[in-house]
Amino acid sequence: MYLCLGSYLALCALAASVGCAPIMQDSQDNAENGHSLITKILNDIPAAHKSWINIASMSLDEVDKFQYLKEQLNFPAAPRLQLISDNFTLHDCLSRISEGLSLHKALLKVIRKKMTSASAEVNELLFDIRDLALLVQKMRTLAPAPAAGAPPVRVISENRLEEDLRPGLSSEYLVKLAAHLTLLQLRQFGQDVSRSFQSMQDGQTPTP
Amino acid sequence: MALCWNLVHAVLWTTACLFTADVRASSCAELHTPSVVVPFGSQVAASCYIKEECSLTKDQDFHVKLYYNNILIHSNKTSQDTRIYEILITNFTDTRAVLECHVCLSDYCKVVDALEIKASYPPPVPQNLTCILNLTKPITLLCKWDPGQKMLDIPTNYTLHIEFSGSERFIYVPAPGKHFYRVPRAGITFFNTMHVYVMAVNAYGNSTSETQELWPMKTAKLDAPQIQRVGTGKFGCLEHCWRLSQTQGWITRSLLVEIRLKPMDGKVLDREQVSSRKARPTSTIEVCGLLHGMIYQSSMRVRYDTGPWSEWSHPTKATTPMKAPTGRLVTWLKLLGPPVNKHYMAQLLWKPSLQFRANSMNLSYIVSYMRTPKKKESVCVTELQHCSFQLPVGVSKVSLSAMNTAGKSSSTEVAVYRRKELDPVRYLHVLPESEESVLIEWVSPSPLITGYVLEWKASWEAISDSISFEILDKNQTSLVVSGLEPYKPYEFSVYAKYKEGIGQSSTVMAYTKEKAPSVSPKLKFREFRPYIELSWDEIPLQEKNGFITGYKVFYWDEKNNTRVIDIEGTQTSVVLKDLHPFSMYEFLLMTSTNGGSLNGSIVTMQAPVIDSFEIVLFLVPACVGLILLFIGVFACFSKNECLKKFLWPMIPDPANSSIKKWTTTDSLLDIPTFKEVKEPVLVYLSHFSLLSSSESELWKVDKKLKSSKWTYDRCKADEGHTDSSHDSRTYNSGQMNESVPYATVVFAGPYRSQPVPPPAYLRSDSTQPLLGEEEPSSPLPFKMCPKVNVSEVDHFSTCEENLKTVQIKGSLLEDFPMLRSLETQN
Repeated sequence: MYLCLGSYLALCALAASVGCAPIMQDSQDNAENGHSLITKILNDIPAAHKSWINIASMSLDEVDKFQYLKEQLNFPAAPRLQLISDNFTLHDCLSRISEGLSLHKALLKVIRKKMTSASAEVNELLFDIRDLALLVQKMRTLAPAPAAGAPPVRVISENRLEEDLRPGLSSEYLVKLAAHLTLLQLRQFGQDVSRSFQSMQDGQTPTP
Repeated sequence: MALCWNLVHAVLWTTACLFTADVRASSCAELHTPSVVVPFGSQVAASCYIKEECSLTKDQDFHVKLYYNNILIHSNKTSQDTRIYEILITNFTDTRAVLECHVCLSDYCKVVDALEIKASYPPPVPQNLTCILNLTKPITLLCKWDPGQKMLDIPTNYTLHIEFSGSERFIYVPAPGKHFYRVPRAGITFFNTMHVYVMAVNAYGNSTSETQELWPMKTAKLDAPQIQRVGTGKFGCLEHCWRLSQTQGWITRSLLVEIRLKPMDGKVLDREQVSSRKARPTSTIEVCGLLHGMIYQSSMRVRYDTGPWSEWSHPTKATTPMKAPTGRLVTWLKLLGPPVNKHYMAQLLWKPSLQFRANSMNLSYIVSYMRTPKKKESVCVTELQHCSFQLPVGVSKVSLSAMNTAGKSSSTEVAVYRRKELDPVRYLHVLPESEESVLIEWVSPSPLITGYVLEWKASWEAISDSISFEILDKNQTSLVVSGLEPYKPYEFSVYAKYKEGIGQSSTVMAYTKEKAPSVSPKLKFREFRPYIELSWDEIPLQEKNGFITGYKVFYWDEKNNTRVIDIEGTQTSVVLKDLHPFSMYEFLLMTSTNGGSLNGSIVTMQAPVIDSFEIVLFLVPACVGLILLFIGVFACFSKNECLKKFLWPMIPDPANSSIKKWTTTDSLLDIPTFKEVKEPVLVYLSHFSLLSSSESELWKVDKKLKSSKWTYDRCKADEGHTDSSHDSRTYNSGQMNESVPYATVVFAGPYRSQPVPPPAYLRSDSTQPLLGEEEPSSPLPFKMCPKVNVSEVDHFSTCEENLKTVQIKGSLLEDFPMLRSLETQN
């Protein structure tokens, strides 16, 4: 199940005598730093939500309440993270994390354009996502090379996303709904990412 | 020769031109400078070479002018070649300048060559670029740099450049004149390498600092962590649960942690330990190797990798699990004096050995001895490290053990050495080593010595609480005692130990270091006219700061005549005898120790004199007395009679006189008033005037007098007496017609045991008539009233009835025939 992660760490341990120890140490540090950053993102979400959304029904505690409208908005779903296994390698995991971060960063930017007022909390959240995305990118370069035929990281274009969402964001309420759904989805995705990083630190299987 | 020089110069010039970059090609002339870009303010040399083939100058008389920014500059021909003209610009301060070489024929000039020179003065390279991440909201990265040494004050603009991950680039412009910038969150990435540099730009160029590779989190000073709980588990271990501050709670990665554990028992402060390790926030950190049963104060700090340490957290206290004390105690048992009622007074002192472990904070000690083999008697249970108790004479061992709530240590047996009059150590002396230590040395008195006990105590503290001791073997005759306080007196005693017992102690007092006393005694004055005694109290022991070696009293008068008296340190008073009365003196007491002297405050005092009040008190009564005396004398001389009465009171000769008249004024002048004398006193008459007559006449008179009153008396109660006025009239009638001889008898009473001279009898042949009856207004004659009470004589002119009973005893009158002749019949 965590053969990939194990093999990654084992490979580094094996190569320690020939200079891979720093790499292993870096990976461990990166996983810890990643966990710190996703923790910061999760901590910042309530403040960002509060700064953007003042509609009582849009609470972070309500998970499935707006499922219908979400479908109507053609709201893009976050990539699903899985347990790291032979079929879902560390590289795959990092790629999915990268895709998810890219998606939510784009969503927040598109919605920010529609919002009437600026939010320092959302900006802070965006910077955190940016930092984590950069870190994950670095981790991907350090991770073992993907198997042949592995799908490349899907880069979500902000313009494309804006075009897709524009018909749906026809009212201020819907913009706020999109913001609410984005933050809600980011929180769920962030929790999965946190578990993934935790497993990377401890050498345990993540439990998304 | 000139041709040769020209040739050489041409070769040199050509060579020089080859190495200069900026030589302008012109068909007629060539203008050149070493560089067209020159440092700002530098010296610039330029030359213009007029070519031989220049058509303008062929067969013409010409001269050359050089212009700098259209200003003519005086040029010189070089000595080697007359066709080369040179100028020197000593200070090139223009941004740019144009140099022109003109060939002039008469007044007509033509530019034959020109070039542009630019000044170059880039700002100094910014130095020491550093950035510190501030994680407190708003999160910023403060970057500072040093602008470098500027030669000229040229306005310079700085820009801070940040790049990371190859894609993110930010440029920040600090305020003019500022050499720092707070980079906002957008330009910061926490866990990536950032490239930071500063560019300085001015009118003459730009310069760039070295690019710094930053890992922002490594520059962040984290907030002090919070110890949430300190728990106990294993023996000698404490578990610390901790976390970062709330705003930094998102940092979940491992951090370097330092935990400082400070034992709260002052005796083991040296057991403070600092433990470093890597730990994640919210984890539990266990620190072991601690003392058992000890309260520890824990505090911790953190840092990210090589970043700066945070501040220490607030301390938290916790106690490690307790164990029973272990190890032995070092003891010193003293028997104080000979036994009384078969008991010694004993004092036991102890201290932990190096192996002793209290294993708890609260330790108590039990002192006991075996009265009988089966009966153990406890004499002390104390938390102190000494105990005084009565020890039966027969007991040879005392046992001591330490105890806490977890258990009791094994007993330490203490042998009882009888104290005997054995030789003490010799030549005990103390040498200060430092401010807190002294070297104590002594000489062994006997080869039979088995060891020594050195005991010392702070002289200013209670005796038992401050006693320290050291057990030394027989070969050790010196010891450095440390941990002492400077300027405090200590008492050191050395006891010699023999097989037979403990010898006498040798004691010496010492200071580690001395200084001037902390306080100066207050001077007290006492007058011993015309001297002054100065005295003062001894300085308290804590404030002496050394042995008082002596005092000096300085005193000076208004004319600054200063005198000094040296006084030994043991004395506390001095009498000053050389003071001038009426002079004001200032006194100063200087107290000295071996470490210095301290002057007290100056006290002003006047030398003892009779003050004005005293003058008034003495002089006024004296003057008044003198004046009264003078008035009295004057009055007496003016009235001779008064003086006579005063100096020679009339005392009649009772034997040869007859009383003509007795007035109260005559008698009372010499008789103390009965007010003053409570008891009757013997009256000594000094003057008595009598009527002198022949014996026959005397008898006649005697008869005549027998038939009349001898004094004028108004006592109506005495019916035997006739009216005195009638008698007086009778007497006066006779007196008016004839002169009467009279005599004076002068008596003297004993005075201060001096012998009484015989009475002088003076007969007067004066024919002056006897004094007549006094004026009616004069005080009435006083009748002599012997043996009367004070109250009775208070009434001037009355006599009590009992006066009738007064009689002159016949026996007394036998010696005084005249008085007897004057005897009146009642």
